[in-house]
Amino acid sequence: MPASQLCLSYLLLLIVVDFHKIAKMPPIPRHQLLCPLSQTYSLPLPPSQRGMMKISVLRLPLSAGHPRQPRLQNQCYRAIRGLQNISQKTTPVTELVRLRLKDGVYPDIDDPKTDSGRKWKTLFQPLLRANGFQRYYWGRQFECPDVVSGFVSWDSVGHHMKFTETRYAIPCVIFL
Amino acid sequence: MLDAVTELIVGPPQLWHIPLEPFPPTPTVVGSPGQVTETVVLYFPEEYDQPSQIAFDKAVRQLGKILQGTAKGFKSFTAGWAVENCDNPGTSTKSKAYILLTGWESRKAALDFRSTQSFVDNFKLLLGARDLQEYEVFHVSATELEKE
Repeated sequence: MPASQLCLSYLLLLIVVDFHKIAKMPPIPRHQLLCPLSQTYSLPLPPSQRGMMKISVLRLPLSAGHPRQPRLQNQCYRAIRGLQNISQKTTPVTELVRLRLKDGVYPDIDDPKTDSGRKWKTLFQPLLRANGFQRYYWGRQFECPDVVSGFVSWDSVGHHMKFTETRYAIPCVIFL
Repeated sequence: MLDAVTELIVGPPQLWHIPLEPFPPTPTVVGSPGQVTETVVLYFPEEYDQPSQIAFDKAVRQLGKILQGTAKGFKSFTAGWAVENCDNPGTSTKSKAYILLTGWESRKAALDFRSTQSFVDNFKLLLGARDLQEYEVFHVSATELEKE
């Protein structure tokens, strides 16, 4: 078996081990989930196990106060790093994102003289400097002008996931 | 950044990661001034198998070639299966999503194409795909966000 495949299998195994630890923990109350982004992935299991596994990536606020949060957090970080290592080996991706603007916000975001316009202009600047970021195109939907669509190109899914690990939110991997 | 986003938006963002082919989608999204991108999100069952996925993708690419030769105002296309399973707006379940982006010289060109025989002949194959649960179509005239 080539070294790269062995390495991939090892990383996947690490994630599975992490999953078993996470699965034994008490469930996190729904209201403690800061979950504007929730993604479900299907990943191939190591060749020896065959088949696919499903995982969900959620984000928890640091202030959630879950009694086991530090332990959970460390395990989540380990699992997500494994995922990043895998996905960074894969192909570039385009992130298609749809955001519905608040009522008082959407008429103004095109005008940088307004408060909303200023915020909108500066909001995505950190993203434009992120490692693995390529291009960001955006526009309002003709059918619903309060909905913005963005097309963000990344070197890999892993680069985007790494970027979303901010000090305000931690990623949490839950196997389904 | 997350706090700043939630100040401006309502509800959770919808998000897909797609290994689009061809990549990057630049010619389809901002290939020429005033260009419009038609985005079609097609939802399939979560367990949609690999051979079916490959067959559907192949059919879409054949359709792209037909558009290239026959559709007035058509610029280019790119498409692919989303990495993650996402919420299906028509059901309460997760679905597998296929995203097709087509670039048109204007929104009118994209809408006019729907009244042609080519659309009737070819898109019915796409929208009549086996196990297709739901689809959404929307149009955007996009610009590039640049560093300050």
